[in-house]
Amino acid sequence: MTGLVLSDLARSILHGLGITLLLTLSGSALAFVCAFVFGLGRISRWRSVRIFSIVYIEIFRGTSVFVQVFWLYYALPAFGLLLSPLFAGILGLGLNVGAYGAEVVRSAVQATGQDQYEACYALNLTRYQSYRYIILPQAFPRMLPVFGNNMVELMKASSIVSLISLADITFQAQQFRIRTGETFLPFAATLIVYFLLYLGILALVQAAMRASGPKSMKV
Amino acid sequence: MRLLSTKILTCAVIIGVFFSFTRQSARSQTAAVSDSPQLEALRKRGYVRLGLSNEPPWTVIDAEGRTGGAGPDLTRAVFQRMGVRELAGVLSTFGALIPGLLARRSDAISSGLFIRPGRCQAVAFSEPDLCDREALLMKMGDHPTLRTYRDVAADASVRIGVPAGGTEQREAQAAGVPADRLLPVPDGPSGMIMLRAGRIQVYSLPASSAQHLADLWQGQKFSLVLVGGTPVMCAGTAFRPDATALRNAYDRVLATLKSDGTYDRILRAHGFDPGLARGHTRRELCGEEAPL
Repeated sequence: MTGLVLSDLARSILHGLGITLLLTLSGSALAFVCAFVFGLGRISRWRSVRIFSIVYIEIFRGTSVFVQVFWLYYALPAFGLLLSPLFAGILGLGLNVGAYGAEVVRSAVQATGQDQYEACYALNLTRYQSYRYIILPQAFPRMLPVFGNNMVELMKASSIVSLISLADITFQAQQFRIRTGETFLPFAATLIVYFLLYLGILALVQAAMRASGPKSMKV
Repeated sequence: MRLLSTKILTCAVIIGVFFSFTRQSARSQTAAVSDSPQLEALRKRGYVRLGLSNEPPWTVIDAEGRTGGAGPDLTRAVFQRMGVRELAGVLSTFGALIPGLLARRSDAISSGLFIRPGRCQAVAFSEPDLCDREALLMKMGDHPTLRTYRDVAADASVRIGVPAGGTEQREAQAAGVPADRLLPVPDGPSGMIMLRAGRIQVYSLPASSAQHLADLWQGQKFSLVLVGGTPVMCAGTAFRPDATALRNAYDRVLATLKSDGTYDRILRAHGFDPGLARGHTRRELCGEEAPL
């Protein structure tokens, strides 16, 4: 009997793990792209790009990710846009965390010393060249620890997708509770699985920090 | 004189019957034509998307994700007669069922959604299919005098848990239970734990759900009381407001299943009383304003 319950729990959690991993990885990839596009957009030379970036960042930072995902899934169909649950989940999480990431990119770029900019100017580098070869290689290692934090936040926030009929770990644990009435087991299992995922992200960020260290910097 | 009046009466009856027949046949003809677009689309696709939340025994989703329970089993039987073979469950929380239907995430809801006047203005209900009474669940020997929501309102030491988004909340509020003693409960197991831990003293939910939970927690002692003074609540299958033609087609098949015994068999298999729904109609449950 208990063996049967345990194997049921293990299967449920494994099913959910696939969805949680997919959401975390795809959401983080989207957030990464958004962070650079809008973070650099915010310090752009063109006023319209700056305004657009600021509007995006403030809207997605300033409203709850819960409401954003609900909106993408339940409100957009009223305007004729029917996103799949998975796409709505990835979009909601990615755009939300991307807005935080954009501020990280902006602050890391602006924290680069004024002398570096002056050196670029003296060497007559184009704007693209100075960012690509001088500014970003110095700013990027500064962003990584915060990106790691954001990715962990995204992974944990992914539990809200049960709202839009995606069966992630938390949702599977809930369904298991309703089936069996057990509460301790599924929640203990989800705690452990989330913590293991966190350790995985930590290792990923540390590997990225080693790779972007001074040795491999292309100057 | 007497003979004449009998003759007139007979004529009137014959004319009346004749007219009602012609009207009925005319109606069934138009219905057969008008139900085609939505039903045809479902038939062509081969499956109907059913909005569900896991609420045993109304809806039961097993470890493999298979859908069962009284509501989906009945809805599946009806749609199979309508020529739609498969049923695809769209699982969400109870409160997200109607938003999901209106956002075209599902084609119908069959998860114990009670027919209430407010909901009748938002969705198009079928005729009632699953009926139940409200129950109070509490620790055995605790508050043995509580029988109604009014009793709960009168006792300031009692906090009551109600399903989030359910009809019990409105009933309890109407009976005068203040908001700070009325706690929304996300799901059955959470309610039982809140009850055991003393966060709530009473958990109100439909009797069949309460019985299911009491059976699941058979080790502990809980007592189940039917709420006095509340009417029988009936659930129906809900459709989008623009899908009344589909709903009408569904109603006709549901009526057939009710008369040929299929309905009784499905309900009994899940512990529901098939007699309860026969005493109620959508029109009556929807109240004064005309339902969709």
